[in-house]
Amino acid sequence: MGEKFVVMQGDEACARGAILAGCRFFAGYPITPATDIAEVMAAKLPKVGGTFIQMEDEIASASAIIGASLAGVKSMTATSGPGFSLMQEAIGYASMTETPVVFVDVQRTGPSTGFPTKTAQGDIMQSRWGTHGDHAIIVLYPSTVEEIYRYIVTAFNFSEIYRTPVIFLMDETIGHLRESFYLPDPEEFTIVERVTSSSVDQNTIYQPFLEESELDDEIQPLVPMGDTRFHISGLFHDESGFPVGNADEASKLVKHFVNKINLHIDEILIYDSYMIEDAEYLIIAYGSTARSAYRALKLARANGIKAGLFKPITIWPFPANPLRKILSNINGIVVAEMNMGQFAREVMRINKKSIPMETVLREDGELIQPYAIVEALTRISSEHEE
Amino acid sequence: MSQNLYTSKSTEIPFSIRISGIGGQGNVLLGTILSDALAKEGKWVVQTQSYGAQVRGGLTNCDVLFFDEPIDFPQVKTFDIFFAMHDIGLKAHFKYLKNNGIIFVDSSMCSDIPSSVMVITKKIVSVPITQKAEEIFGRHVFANAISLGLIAATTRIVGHEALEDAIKENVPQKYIDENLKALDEGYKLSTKVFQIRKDLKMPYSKGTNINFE
Repeated sequence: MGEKFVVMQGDEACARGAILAGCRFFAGYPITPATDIAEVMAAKLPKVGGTFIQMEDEIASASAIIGASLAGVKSMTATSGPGFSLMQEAIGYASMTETPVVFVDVQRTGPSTGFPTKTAQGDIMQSRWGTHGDHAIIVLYPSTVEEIYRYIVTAFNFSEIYRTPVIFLMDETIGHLRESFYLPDPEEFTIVERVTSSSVDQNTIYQPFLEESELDDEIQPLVPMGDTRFHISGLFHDESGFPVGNADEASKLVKHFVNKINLHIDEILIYDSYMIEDAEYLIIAYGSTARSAYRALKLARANGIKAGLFKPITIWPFPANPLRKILSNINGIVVAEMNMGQFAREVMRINKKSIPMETVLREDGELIQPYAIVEALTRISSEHEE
Repeated sequence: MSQNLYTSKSTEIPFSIRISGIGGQGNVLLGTILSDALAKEGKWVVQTQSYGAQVRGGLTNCDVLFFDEPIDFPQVKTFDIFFAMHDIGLKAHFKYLKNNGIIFVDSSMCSDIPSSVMVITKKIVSVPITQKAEEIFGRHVFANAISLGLIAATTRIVGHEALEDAIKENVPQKYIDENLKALDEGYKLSTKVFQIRKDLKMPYSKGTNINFE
């Protein structure tokens, strides 16, 4: 098999990629613009021996996938903003129990019901800090249908490797968009498989939360319940999973949640940069806005503005180091996003040299037009020349 | 790494068609078949839809962009081809037709074509498509397959064989034959050939946004 030129919808690519990644359980509740993911899952999962279930709401959906994953099946749910809000508690539970699950959030305009059929990027901070308590999380955000297909596989792999919930952000634009692309050969993907009881020592008691120290970067593999017996709790727990009441154990656990992501940040950070070799001005954009930004980049170059584009796929953890490296040669930054500046604030945080920065923001459910980004680049470059 | 939109250096504006009707007329299916057929001929395509919160009824647009290069920005401001399947769509969206673009009107679903359309273009194709569908098949659902044939025969943007293949992939098994017949009926309804624009260059002029799409 080689690459095939296909036309596919973003939501469909998400479902197909998830099945390729080994997802065999989907629980969800319909919501525009994520319903198509559930539709494809409902049609395709039974054919590969998987299970699709429509739950009574998003809270139940999120809980169901955690249960299925603990039982040894790679699991996913998909929703949009209002449903994602309901799922937050379960995301914390998955973090605490170190359960690998994938939450897809196809963003639409909010808060609340907003515009169900309009696009937005308003859940950037919610995907990071939506659930309570200290935790680290991985959030991936593709910008094309091809990237959706590729990186949903990565999302599953990360959730398995780091035993963490992974949030896969999309937006209405790329979710509903049908576009042509070269469908990658399934052979070219690495799939991280779940371990089974045969891979653990049968003579010792399996301890699902065993770590050597809080800085340990080895992550204990999760053996399916049923293959072995262990306890799961949202309370602070020891190696065996049973609740504990002492401060040391609590501290150790929280630090472990944060460190297991932060110590592997180099493997987790995925990003692309375009025309940055000689760039004097940098556009930062992600998701469907990166497509506007890429056109703006080409138009700006055609008009003599030496621009570059930084497009993070991993938006959490924040790609601070790669961005710092690029910013060392940059005279002006333009951040474009379809919210009131959620990611721009993070860029500001690492912009220690106070490089002039402009934001191109939109929150009305419409895409950012390339000219708006070119205009910002023109402004920032003419100010620099003065 | 194979070609994708981030490997494209093109700043040209892709060709575009907007199919405008009300929910339930099958304009999204029309767009789906058209974009699949274009991709079969090696074109890069992007298909988007816009609609309201309701399940049926209400203005629905299906936009198909196509080009020889991957398409980065998935929207255009004005369209090379505009297809009005319903009066609401015609009145609300004819203004998005490019100067000298091609407009198709299902005259059995639309009232008179606004006179301002004539200012935008002379390339007007007005055919009672839904009425034809009822006459030939006794059902109006085949109007969109007839429309496909009419578009293909008039604009020559896509070939007959690719359309046939795309119909076979997107239509339920038992309706394939009738849809293929409807496609051919569409070809028969076409009396003229209108070319879409040849000029691809729409350079960026600093300080204005006129040439952006």
